[in-house]
Amino acid sequence: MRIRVYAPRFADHSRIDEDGFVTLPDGATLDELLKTLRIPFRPGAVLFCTVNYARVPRSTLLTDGDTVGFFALVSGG
Amino acid sequence: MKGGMGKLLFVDLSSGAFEERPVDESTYRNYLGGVGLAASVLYDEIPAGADPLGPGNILGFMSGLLTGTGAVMCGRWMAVCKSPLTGGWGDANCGGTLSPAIKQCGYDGIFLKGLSPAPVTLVIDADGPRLQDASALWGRDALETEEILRRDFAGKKRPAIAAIGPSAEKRSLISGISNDGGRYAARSGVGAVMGSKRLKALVLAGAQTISCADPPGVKDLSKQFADKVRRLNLPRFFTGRLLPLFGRALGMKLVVPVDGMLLAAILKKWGTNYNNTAGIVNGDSPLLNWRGSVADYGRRHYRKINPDLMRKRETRKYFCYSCVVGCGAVCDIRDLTGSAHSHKPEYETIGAFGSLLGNDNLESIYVCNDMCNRSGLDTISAGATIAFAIECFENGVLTKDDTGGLELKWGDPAAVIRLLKMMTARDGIGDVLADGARRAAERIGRGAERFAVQVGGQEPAMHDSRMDPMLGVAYGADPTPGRHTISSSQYYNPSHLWEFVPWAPKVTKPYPKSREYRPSDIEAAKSAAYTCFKQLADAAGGCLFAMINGVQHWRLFDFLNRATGWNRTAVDYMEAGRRMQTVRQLFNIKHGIDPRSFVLHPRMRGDPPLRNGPLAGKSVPIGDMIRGYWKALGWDETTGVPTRETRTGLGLDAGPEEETGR
Repeated sequence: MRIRVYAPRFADHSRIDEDGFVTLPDGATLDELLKTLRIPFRPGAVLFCTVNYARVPRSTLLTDGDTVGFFALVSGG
Repeated sequence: MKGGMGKLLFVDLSSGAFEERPVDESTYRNYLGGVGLAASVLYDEIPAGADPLGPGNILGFMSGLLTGTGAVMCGRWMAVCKSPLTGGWGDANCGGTLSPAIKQCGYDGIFLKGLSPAPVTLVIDADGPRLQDASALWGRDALETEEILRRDFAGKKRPAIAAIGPSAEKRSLISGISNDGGRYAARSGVGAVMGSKRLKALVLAGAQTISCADPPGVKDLSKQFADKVRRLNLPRFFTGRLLPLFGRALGMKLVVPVDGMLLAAILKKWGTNYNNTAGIVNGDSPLLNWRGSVADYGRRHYRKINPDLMRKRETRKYFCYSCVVGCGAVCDIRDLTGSAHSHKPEYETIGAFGSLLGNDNLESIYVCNDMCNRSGLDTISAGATIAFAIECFENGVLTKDDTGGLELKWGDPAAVIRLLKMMTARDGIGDVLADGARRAAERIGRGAERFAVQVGGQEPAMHDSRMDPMLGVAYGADPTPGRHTISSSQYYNPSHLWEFVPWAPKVTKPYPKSREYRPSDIEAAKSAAYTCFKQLADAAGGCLFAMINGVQHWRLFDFLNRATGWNRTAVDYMEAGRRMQTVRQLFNIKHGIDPRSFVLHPRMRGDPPLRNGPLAGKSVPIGDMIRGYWKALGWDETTGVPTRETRTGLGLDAGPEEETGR
């Protein structure tokens, strides 16, 4: 499945394709997306993330076409 | 087709005559509504050489093609004319309540020509249009005028009112037109044109239905957008104290793709005021007449204009017609001015009267905002002109003899208020300053022009072109120079135009910020694409903030097809946008403006660069970038004149005989 992602600077952008999507196996969770993008979810890094514009737990199952956004103040770019 | 009202109203203020003119479908297809329709009319109707403050100028009030069809975020209206400030195309965009009211009167636009022999209001209701004597209102401020007209209106329907204040009556070239208690069509000197015609106000109370080809289809798109806006909220811990960090993150050396919907969450909480701290740390906000940096206006200053402080005065949020974000608010400032209902100062106003002047006194900014709302002065231009005056005084170009004993210095709120009062009254030095920085510099002489930060006569907004070079291209290349709402990287990057328009460059991968400072085909194409998109949105009545949210969310192309019944591609709509932009440029050329004459003040292009702050060392090769932009639009890259081939391709038979060699 393809997930549209807006990743912070310090994420691994090589995992995001030219259209801004990440391909994951069906049934992947938000936490697995974070691991795929190598995003540490801790205070000072990512403040919060949303799936389809709602804040959800990291255990949330993703579905094809979801939009995941991250909000980070600190960056390493 | 649906969506349009099928006609325009022309009012001859000299004779009192009214004329309705039909709009055919091919005109709608080529120009939609709003600014596009206006450009197609005013190019033909205003003769070359017309005095912008004379009877030959025409002032238009334009609704958008999507206004009233159920499409969300489509409640903007535009005032259009030949600008007395720049001598070329003039327009000003505004929210509020006037846009649907224009169409409910039965028209896509209302045009006023000639000069009334005495002050009048134009009233349109179920009995049709008529002119009423407004002598008793002449001299009253814009908000007062609206209250009186609403109170005295005999009809059942609450009218939408657009009015001018005393600054516009006195033909200040930096005055605008108020709607709904202080929402403003402020730029291009549109207020002066209305004042020159002795037109005090429009009172619109029609009740005609606005058609839509596919109401459930439009409603569905609107609901999808509104649901996203409703769901996306900032967490409680994200207070105004974090905004400087947010600003720093936006100003980093690596630009990453962003989701424009985040802006909706920020605007819901703070309105545009979020940028009054964020923009200082990343360089977006120009400081001390464009010569300063955060080194001059650091944390001990900008924390006093923290947007959380402003929320404390809000009594309610304000939503323009068809808006679901509500970036505005109404404030209680009775302790400051006696007003219990004052529109909250926007980012631009706080920047222009605050950080641009080294002023961190928030109360004084509320006072200045209220004064401008009542008198009619454009807050951007007024603040920028005061900054010019302060720097003139600092350098001995103005003295106390010129200012009536008033000492001008940075960070002095009392002096700012006194000087603004003089400008609203055209009193003493106020009369010199009331027409903007360029005219003031011409009258003062003594080398004052080096302190007048303007382009083409228009003071630029509170967004620094040294931080966003694409913004600098818009400042220097748009037919309305100095305008921050035409295009910039910060607007383009979240737009997702590339998902619908193949020639629009993608922004789906991080890129170095330094790329934006080099002329390239990509940057030129971005500028051209966003400009066309902006004209299209303006023609539809759309809001800039919805554009920034992204066209994959605010589905403008789909809205247009569903509302009108057309079946057009995004590429076709963008071509209409290019047509509108081309006619705006041709208007300027017809009226004797050489596009190359819009030269940015050296500070705006970093010549020389700042030595401190986030923009230290930054300069922008504006000339080369503008040439690339012109080429991308199909205009001569050397002269900015639309080529014959482009004009023919767009179906325009207007334009100069010679393409080049001017």
